[in-house]
Amino acid sequence: MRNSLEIRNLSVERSNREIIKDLSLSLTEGNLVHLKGANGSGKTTFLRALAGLINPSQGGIFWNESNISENIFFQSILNYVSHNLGLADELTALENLSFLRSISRKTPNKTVEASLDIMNLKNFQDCRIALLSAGQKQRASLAQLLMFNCPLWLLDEPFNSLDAESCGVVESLIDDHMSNGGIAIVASHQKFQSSTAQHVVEL
Amino acid sequence: MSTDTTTWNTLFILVRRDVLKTWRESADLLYPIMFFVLVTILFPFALSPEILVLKSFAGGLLWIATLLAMSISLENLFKTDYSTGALEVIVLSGVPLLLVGLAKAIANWVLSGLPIIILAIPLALSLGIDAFSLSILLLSLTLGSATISLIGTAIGALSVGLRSSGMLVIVLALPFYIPLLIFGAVATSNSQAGVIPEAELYFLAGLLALAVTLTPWATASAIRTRLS
Repeated sequence: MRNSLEIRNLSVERSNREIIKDLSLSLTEGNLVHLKGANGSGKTTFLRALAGLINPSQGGIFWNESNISENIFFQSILNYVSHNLGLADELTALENLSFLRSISRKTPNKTVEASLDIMNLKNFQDCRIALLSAGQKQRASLAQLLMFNCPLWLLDEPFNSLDAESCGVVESLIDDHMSNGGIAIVASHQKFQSSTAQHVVEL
Repeated sequence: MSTDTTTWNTLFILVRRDVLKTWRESADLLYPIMFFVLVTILFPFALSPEILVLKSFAGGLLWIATLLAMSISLENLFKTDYSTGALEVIVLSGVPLLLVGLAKAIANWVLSGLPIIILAIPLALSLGIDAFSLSILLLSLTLGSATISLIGTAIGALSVGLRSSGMLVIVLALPFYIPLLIFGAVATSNSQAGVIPEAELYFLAGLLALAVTLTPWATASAIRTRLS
């Protein structure tokens, strides 16, 4: 069966304000969505709802026809990289990612060291996150994408703070994911290159 | 690997991470311990240098200092993990949140409860507590501090994402600590009178069993609610 993500009439409220209103979207393997919108338009809220962190006020999100709110294994097929990065400042890049790999219920893919190497962080893997530059922190966070074999990627501003070379690495990661039959939703202010046709959703 | 082994292993990994993180942020580690030592040292200056007077107050004093010092340590339990997004990443890793809550409490006890219990030995002796009462004090502090960590973790999770949550956590947690304070202090004072405080110690052990059973669920539920 082909993997599919279906968003049916999704509405999300935050503090009695409707951020997402009646949004529907249907995606299958190899579909890439570029999520655009002004600051505060709800891109992060939408991604957090897709990740199951926020309950929708109306509608639902279905992975392979099963509602994600009733699917306890949904998080194991999901790679979500938030704009907060999700790395503890006091730990090194290697410690942060090794910790994540050892507790995660997701299917493992590349080793932590190999993932950091691909993200050009091999020489900085033993540096505490607090001492890394913004771009290096972003790359360390994105290394999570390589560590797990997840069919669904939700990326919140993955190109933030990255130089042109690193942007190219991330774009090629997204391309590889798409050519392997993955689904990706990328919230980004900037245009990015991809060999996969992008569905653009403006919030 | 069996499920049990995986669960214990995951719990160990979660505890080790929190311990390492706090160990490297030395201020978070030192403030509660310094507070405990300073309060205990300053008390004789305000009350009386007479050993008989100090001895009669020692149990209660050490218990109050423990409660307040451990309450200070609760403020930062979830703070940095929330602000860096690490808590979200942990939740999305699929690890049971029960284990996350339990691990936070164990790490909090290792980093604040355990040092306080160890430091209580010289401080209690300097306040004139005898060997038998000291053993009862240490036993009551061990049972009580573990319960404080468990309850405090659940209340700390309720304040995830709130600004200036430190005082709120202390105010919410202190009423739950009152039974611990009463039975802990009474256990020590009874032992100083030569009575073996079995009932008080059983009560403290019962509260610990209750806290181990219930608070990880409360912490898990609070984390889920506060993140959404």
